[in-house]
Amino acid sequence: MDAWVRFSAQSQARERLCRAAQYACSLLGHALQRHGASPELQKQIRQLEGHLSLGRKLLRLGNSADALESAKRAVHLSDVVLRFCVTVSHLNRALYFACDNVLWAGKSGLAPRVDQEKWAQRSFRYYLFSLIMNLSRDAYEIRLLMEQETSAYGRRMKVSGVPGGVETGGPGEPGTPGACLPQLALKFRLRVLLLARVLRGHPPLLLDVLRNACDLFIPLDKLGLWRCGPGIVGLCGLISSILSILTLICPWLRLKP
Amino acid sequence: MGKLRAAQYACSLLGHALQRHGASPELQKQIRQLEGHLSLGRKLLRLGNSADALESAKRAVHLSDVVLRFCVTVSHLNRALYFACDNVLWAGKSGLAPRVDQEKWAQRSFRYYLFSLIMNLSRDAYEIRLLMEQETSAYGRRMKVSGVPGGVETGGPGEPGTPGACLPQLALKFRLRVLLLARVLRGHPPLLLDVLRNACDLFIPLDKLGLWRCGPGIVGLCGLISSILSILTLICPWLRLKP
Repeated sequence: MDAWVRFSAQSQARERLCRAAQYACSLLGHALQRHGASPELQKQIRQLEGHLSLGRKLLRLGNSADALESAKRAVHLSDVVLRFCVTVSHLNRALYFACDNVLWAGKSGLAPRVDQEKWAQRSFRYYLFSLIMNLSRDAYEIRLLMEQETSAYGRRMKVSGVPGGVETGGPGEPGTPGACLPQLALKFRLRVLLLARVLRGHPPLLLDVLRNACDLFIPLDKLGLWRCGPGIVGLCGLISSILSILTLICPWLRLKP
Repeated sequence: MGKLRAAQYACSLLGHALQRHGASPELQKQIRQLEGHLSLGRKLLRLGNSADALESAKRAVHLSDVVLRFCVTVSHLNRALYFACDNVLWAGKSGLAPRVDQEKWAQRSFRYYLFSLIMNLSRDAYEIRLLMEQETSAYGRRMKVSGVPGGVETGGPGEPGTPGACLPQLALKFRLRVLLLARVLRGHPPLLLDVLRNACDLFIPLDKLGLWRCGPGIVGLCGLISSILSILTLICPWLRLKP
C-alpha cells in the first residue's frame, strides 16, 4: 500500500498506467477478434480503449511545456552529441504533445472542425523523429561504453603480459577470401559478446534501448511505413509501458540525463 | 489535478451563463460535451484515490488530539467510500460495466462526499474554538498584567437585569465574539482557506442530493471558487492546513 502511494504521487505514474491499460485493451481486442468472441464484448473493449486514450490526452495537456523545459535544460549538456540528440528529441516530443492537444480539442468537441487524420499523422511523425533521436543517443552511449571496455581490456592484457589482444589481431595480412570469412565471423561474434556485456553491465541503458525499440513499432505501423498489425502494436506498447512503469518505481533504472 | 476540476466547474458556470443569455444551442452543446469529457477524464484520474484516502485514514488514527483524530479519520474514510462509488460510476460510463445504475451510485457518492465535508467543517469549528479560547485567555493574562480591572469578555451578565437591558449586552457579546472570530481567522490563513473551501464545496452535494437546490449557476461558481482555493494551497504549501 505504501509503495502504491509513493508511486502514484509521481505525476507521470497515472498516465503510464493508463497507457499500459490502453495497450492491454488493444492487445485483448485483437486476441478476441482472432478467437471469434462476441461483437458486443469487442465493442466494449474498443469503447474502453477509446475512453483511456481520451483520458490520457486530457492528462497530457501540459506536457508540451514540460518537454520544452527539458529541451532548454538539455542545451547545457557537456557532450556535443548527447546535447544534440537529447535536445532535438525533447523538441520533437514537444511538437508531438502540441499535435496531441489539438487532437484532444477535436475529439472533445472544443474545436470540431479539426482534421483528425491529418493531425494524427503529424503527431506520429514527430513521435517517430523523437524515437529515432533517442535510439541514436542510445547507440552513441553504447559505442562509448564499448570503446571503454575495449581499452580497459587492452590495458589489462598489457599489464598481464599477453602478447596482443584478440580484438586488434586478425586482418592486416591480405589473405584468401575463404580465410577472411571465419575471421569476420569471429570478429562479429566478439562484437556481439562485447555489446551483450556492456548492456548487462548498464541496466538503465538496456531498458532505454528496449523501450525505444518497442515504441518504434507504434508510429511505424500508424504511418503505414511497416504494417505490423494491431496485435504486435498492442504487445509492443504494453511492453514499453511496463518498462517505463519499472523506471518510475525504481528511479535508479532511469537513464541520466 | 485541481486544474481539471477548476476547468470543469468553469464550463458548468459558462454553460449556465450562456443558457441565461440565450446563446446558440450549438455552443451550449459544445460546452456541455466538454464538461462531460472533463468529468470522465477526472474520474479516470481518480481511479486510485480510494487507496490513498484509506492510507491517509490509517495515518490519521495516530493523531494526538481525540476530536481531531475522530474528525479527520472519519472524513478520510468517507472520502475513500466516495472515490469507490466514483470508480463504479466510471466503470458504468466507460462501458466496462454497462448495467450499473448510474443514478443510484451517483446519489451514494454524493452522500459520502457530504458526510466527509461535514466532518471537515466540524474539525474546522473545533480548531476555531480552540484558537478563540487561546486568544481569550491570552487577552485575560495581558489585562491582568497591565492591571485593567476585569476584562470586557468576562464582564456583563451575572447580574440579573431587565430584559430590555439584556438585549444590548447580548448584542455586544455577539459583536465581540464575531470580532474575535474574525481576528482568529485573519491570524490563521490556512484555517480560513479550509473553512471557505469546505463551505463552497458544501453546496455541490446539497444541490445534487436535492436537500437545497441552489441552481447550476451557484454550484458552478462554488465549485470554481473551491477549486481555485485548492490550487492555491498546492502552489503555496504553507497555506495547507496540517495535518
